[in-house]
Amino acid sequence: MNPKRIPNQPLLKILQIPNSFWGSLFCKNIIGFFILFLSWAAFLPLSTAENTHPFRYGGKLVLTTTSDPKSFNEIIAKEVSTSEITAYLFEGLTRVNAVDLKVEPHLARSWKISPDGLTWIFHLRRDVKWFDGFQFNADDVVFTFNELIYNLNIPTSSRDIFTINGQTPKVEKIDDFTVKFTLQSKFAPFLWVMSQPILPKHKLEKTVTERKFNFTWGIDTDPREIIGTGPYKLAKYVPGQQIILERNPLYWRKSVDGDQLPYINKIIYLIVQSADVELLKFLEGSIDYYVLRGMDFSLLKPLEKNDDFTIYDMGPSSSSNFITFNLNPGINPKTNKPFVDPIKLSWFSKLEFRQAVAHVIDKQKIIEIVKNKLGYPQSSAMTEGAGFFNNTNVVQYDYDLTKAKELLQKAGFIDRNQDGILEDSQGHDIEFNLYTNADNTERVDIAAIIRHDLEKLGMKINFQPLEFNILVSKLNSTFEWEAIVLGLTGGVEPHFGRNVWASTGQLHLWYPKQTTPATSWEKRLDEIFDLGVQELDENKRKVFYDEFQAIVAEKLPLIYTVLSAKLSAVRNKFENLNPTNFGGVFHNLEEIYIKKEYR
Amino acid sequence: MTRNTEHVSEFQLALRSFKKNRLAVCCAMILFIFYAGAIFADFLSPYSYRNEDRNYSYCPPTPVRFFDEGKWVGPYIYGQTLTFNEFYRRVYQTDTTRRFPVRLFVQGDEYKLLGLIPSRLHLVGVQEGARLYLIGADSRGRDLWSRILYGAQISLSIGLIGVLISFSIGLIVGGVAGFYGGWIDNVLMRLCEMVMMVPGFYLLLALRAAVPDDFNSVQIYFAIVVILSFIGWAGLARIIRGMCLSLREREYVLAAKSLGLSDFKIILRHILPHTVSYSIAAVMLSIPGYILGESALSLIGLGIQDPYASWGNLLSDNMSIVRIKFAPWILWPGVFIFLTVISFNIIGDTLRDCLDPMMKAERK
Amino acid sequence: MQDAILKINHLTVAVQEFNKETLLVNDLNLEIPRNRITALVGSSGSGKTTTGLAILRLLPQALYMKKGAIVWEGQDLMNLSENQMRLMRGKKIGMVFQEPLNAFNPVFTIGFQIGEVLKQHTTLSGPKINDEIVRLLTTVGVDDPPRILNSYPYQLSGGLRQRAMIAQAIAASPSLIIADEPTSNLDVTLQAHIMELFRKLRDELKMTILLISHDLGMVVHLAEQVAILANGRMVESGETKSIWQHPRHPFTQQLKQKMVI
Repeated sequence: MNPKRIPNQPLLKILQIPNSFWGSLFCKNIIGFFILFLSWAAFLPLSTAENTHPFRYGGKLVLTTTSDPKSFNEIIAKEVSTSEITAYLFEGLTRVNAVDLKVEPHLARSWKISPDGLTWIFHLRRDVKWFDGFQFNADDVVFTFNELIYNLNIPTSSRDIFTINGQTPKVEKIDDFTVKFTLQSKFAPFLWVMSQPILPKHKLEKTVTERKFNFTWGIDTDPREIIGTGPYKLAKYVPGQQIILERNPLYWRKSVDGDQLPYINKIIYLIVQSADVELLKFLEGSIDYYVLRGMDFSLLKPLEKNDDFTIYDMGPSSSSNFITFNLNPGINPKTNKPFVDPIKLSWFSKLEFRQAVAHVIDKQKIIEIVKNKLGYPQSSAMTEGAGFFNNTNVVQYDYDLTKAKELLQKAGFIDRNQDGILEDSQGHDIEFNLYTNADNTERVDIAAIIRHDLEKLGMKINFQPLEFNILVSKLNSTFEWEAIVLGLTGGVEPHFGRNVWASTGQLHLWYPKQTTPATSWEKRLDEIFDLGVQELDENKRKVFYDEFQAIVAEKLPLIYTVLSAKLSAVRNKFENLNPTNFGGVFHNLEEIYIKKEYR
Repeated sequence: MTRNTEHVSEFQLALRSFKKNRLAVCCAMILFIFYAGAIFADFLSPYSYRNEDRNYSYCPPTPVRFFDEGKWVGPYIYGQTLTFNEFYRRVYQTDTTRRFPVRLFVQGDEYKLLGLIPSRLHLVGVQEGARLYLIGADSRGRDLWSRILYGAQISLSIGLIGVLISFSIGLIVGGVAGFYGGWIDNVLMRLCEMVMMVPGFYLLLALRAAVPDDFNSVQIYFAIVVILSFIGWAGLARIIRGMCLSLREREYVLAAKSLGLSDFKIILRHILPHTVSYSIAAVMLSIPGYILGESALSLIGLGIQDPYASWGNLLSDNMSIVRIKFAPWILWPGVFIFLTVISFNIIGDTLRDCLDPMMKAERK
Repeated sequence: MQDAILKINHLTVAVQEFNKETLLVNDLNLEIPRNRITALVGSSGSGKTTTGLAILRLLPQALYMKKGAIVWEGQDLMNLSENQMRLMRGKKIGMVFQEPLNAFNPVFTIGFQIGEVLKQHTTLSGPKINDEIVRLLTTVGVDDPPRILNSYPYQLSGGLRQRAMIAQAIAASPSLIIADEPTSNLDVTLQAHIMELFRKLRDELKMTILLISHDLGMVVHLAEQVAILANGRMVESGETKSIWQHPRHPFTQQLKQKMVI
């Protein structure tokens, strides 16, 4: 090979570099290192890659909350005010897609399930970093389960979620980015519950060994100590005033075009006293988002154009409202008296009685009056928002006072002495207490309307709104109540309602914690929930849960009333919004950015 | 030689100068009207407090017309139908095809006059087919005017009964403390201070929480009255005690003692009657506290319950800026509370001023 | 010599002022003979009213009996409980005050107030009470008892009021009346009448009277015994006639000359 002749360039001449330089070892080494350097630089994490759409980055989202978080420790504290915030900071191996309600990979990039459905192997992402730069790996997953969730010294409701048939899955590290879960019985919602947030081992290990975990990451913690993998990290918390979250520059997710997410720089939660204050703040422009009550619609809708916002109607909420009767035949061990007067228990236990009550719920008018026409009648235990598992084919009860009277007559409830009040076959006046929680004005209104109509039928109702804690103690400990108007949050995965529907369930409101099922239909519900959770084929599962909803609608342990409409108002400055019933407006917050013209 | 003067008690003298104060007399008349309205609520209101019609939710005040095409036909109203506009706002369409005359002394909802005599006679009303809402309807179509009248029964009576109870307790405690002095006075006054020390509203809540849940409405009413009196007696007791401390130095108290009268009789006959004139003014000034206390309890849902009306729970029904914007008439109960409180305050102040110089003259 | 209905032995009454104890009555010894009028005379501040109140155990709170015994028919009143003492007051020992306008409750009628005493100490009731009040008022020399009965204290003249007060004091028929300056606020003519009334009480009703006054000249015609008080101490005592004729103590002499007010 002929040695290359250096071009006779004036620059080189000026530099006076000898010819021999270019062929020397030193030069080859330098070129070699330079090539290595370039290849290394090409793999640098694009932490400041505002490359594809630089104009999308920046700005803030201002939201409100009506209560302070109780803690930032996601394991210990699960109430809404805490999980609202920790949802930004921590992530799980899976995530539920708010659009199609399917589970998708998140911190785990893929998984495999054994043919017997009992062994799950998760392959973790390798590009996830904790806020402090440490690498996320299998150790963190194993730590979160074995040291935190399964730790009996740590009070957490997550343990109940992972207790399947009395046992918890075995969690083992296979290698740095592979984790194995071994279940003792099949569990259909397993991928769903694997959205459980993972916490950092390197940061929290010491607190567990020192038995300090229960007090770690409380509300007075320095925000910089709270380490997660999520799109946002805690920047500042001023109790009673605001919570500020900041963009995580190390976040692993990218947009479809390759932008590193999230786009929005800051999320600010203003802590306000009441919904009215929130409304005022929205009207004056200080906040970007407002969840509407039915009555707010008339006020806000006309202002949409002028005030530059849009109201999204995302369909029915999944929080139910119902009236239920106490069917508990038990005896109070302290007083040796039955929880419910046996005479009244005999009324409530008659199916015709409950059916009559169902026919007396004027759902149309309740929606008109209480929700300002922005609501939906509810007939089924799983609401429309549940999507796939919602059974629309259940028994419907229309508002029919005549029919109700007939049913009552059939069951022996007649006004024999014409005093305006029905009596049972023994001559006892139909009279009972109706409770609800005083602080929920909508529920109080619903209860008042139901009460009025029941009185039209000829029943005597003693309506008494109670303070929430008193109501809860009646439901959970003293069991001394007769009829209650209450509500429960709903969901997409039917198994999570097991607490309510299984006869041994704590939330089996009308007759909780049964030792053996009291009725044949409750026995069937137990079976359904045991079988449904182990059936991994979705369509086969649907058959079970459709039956459960049909039973509930037929036997009416809970008599459903109405659902609110999910309405939110959002300023028009946000792009990429995709509001869904399940996810609300900001389920895809990382992908949302502020429009150019609003900067 | 004796002066042949007509006996005029100091209270009557005070009353005379009270009558000269026009503002106070005006307030007294307002209260008289309110109380009269409360007593005859059944008759004066077009509808019972429970009469609801869901098809008239938040119906605005019904315009009463007098002329039809320029001709005088007497008072009448048109029927209304509820519709929702594009913004889901309630809009009532007037049906001008049929007139419903507003009549006096009509037959309406049944009630028992003064709790005893059944009757169906109402002062005003219209026949079936239209609803007469003098100041508008609430969320369930109940007539607000009727409910205000019924609400007066509860709100105004709570004030009177409550103050009667506090007054009695305060007089006795204050009288005993002031008369005996010493350790009895000490103990009783420390007790007063302990009660006064607890922030009134929280004491109210704590006591309300202690009320058994299965009380019916009447029992809750009395429980609320008792609770409110429990809060109020301490202030009165202290004032009475102060007055008694000085009154017991009066010579006629010494004379009464020298005559061997029992302490109880001395307190009752010779000391307390001299505090009554001041107490009445104090009582007038404290009645508003009861009315507002009941309203406060109702606003948080712990007061008088649906379907019974009290001015407090009428306000609490719809405490939201949106409702107030679209149905501003729901604030009327607030106006009544305001007028009542102001009237009691003015009357109390004026009475106190009128009685004061009398007391000074009496001491000579 | 009459036996003593009341014996005051070594009575010492003190008051605590700014950590200093001042003696208002200092070692007073006095025997009050039954059915006689005994006068206790001294200038203001001499302790005479205090003595009167001490007998009834009605001393103001700041004052206290430091020493001494008050023996009533053999029993030391100091040893009685408050309840027992209350039974004595009005029933056994009565008091007439200086200013009846103050001593009557202005808001009740005379009849009501005398009636109270009767209800407390006697078993009378209803119309019998009114009859008794009329009788009492007549006894004390009131002309139109029914009208007085229904009158308020301020409606009466000074003299009538004083009579009414005396009527009230004797209503329960006490054996001893303590009259504290009963005529000081009345004019001279009325004084004579009231003194006459006391004489009547002593002679006709057989009452014993302890007359407290600053005016030696006024009591000299009425009282059999007199004791002179000065600065809490008894300086002289004995038969009125001899004291008046031969006052030994300079203070007594002063009183006689009415130069002390």
